[in-house]
Amino acid sequence: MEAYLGVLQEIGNIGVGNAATALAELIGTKVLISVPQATFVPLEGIFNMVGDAEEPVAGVLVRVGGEIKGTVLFAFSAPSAMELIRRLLGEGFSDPFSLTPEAASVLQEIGNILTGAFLTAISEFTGLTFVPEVPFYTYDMLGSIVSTSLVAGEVIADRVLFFETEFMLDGQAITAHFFLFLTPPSLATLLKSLGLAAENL
Amino acid sequence: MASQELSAKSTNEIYVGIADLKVGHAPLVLITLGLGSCVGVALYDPVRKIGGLLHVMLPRSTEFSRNSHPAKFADTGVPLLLAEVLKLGADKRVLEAKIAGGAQMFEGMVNIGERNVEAVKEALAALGLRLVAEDVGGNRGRTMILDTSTGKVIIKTLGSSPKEL
Repeated sequence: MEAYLGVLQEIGNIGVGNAATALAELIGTKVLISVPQATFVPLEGIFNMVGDAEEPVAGVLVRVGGEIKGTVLFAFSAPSAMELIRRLLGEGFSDPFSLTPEAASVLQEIGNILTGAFLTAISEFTGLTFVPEVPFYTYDMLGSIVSTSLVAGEVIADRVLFFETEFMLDGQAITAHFFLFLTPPSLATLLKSLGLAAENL
Repeated sequence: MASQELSAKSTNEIYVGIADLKVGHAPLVLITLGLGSCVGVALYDPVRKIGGLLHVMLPRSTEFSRNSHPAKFADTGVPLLLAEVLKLGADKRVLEAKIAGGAQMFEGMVNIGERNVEAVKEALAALGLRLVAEDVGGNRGRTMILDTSTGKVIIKTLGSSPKEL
């Protein structure tokens, strides 16, 4: 199955490229992306993959339904989230705990636009239909957001398909981690759409 | 990479992942990170200083056809945790249970956290285990730490000081 991960990484790359373009247009600045990683991990090992599970992050979660099921998660460091809000809203916040609903909705909207751009590119490439739901926002420890993202997206099989990349704006002024969590059946569906048979998923 | 970093922090610390459980005796410290809607269950024998920590993700295994992973569910995870601490020599009659987690992290989302807490409590009661302390619900994520030397359970949340359960 690991042989298919390269294919998946390629598909993800196309989606991430489109999302980066959308973000660059939205913010009006250059956006760099790290080389995306696609991995299969056992559920109990997921925290080892995401970085520091206790890191406080502004998380925007988008459930994805349709022909594949999963969750897209954007995790911004607190300074990155505050900087994004300042640029898009023209109003500064220093404390991520006391965001106005309007400020939080700026982050949700970014999650919405990026997820849409990501999924549209993959949909055009594979012919599959994706249905992103309304974005959810919270500021909390990364690990608790990740575990809740898995449950929310019904990514509860023993192994999780984990896709990750990092967006960097203006050098390192704003960084965001992009995670996609999918179930093995969703990977099989993706591969099938490309004419590849996935066995033993 | 991260797993090595984690385990290198202290040789006494053992991390419990999602849908995972670990047991041990003093001086081990069992830690589970990232409890959102998930529930952490600690069992502790204060006489023999044996403890176990479980991180359940979902309430009931019976709701799923593929459920080969008992630690994922409250109804199968709690009995497995008990079996594992008994294997180490714990005495069921003195075991104390403490639970944490089950938050509703995202407003407006189905409250699976509440169902997880209910299912864990049912499973503990069905086995005749004593629940002595809990820190459940709310909307914050938690880290749960069981020190098998003392039986102390520490709960960490973002923006608050750690508290003892």
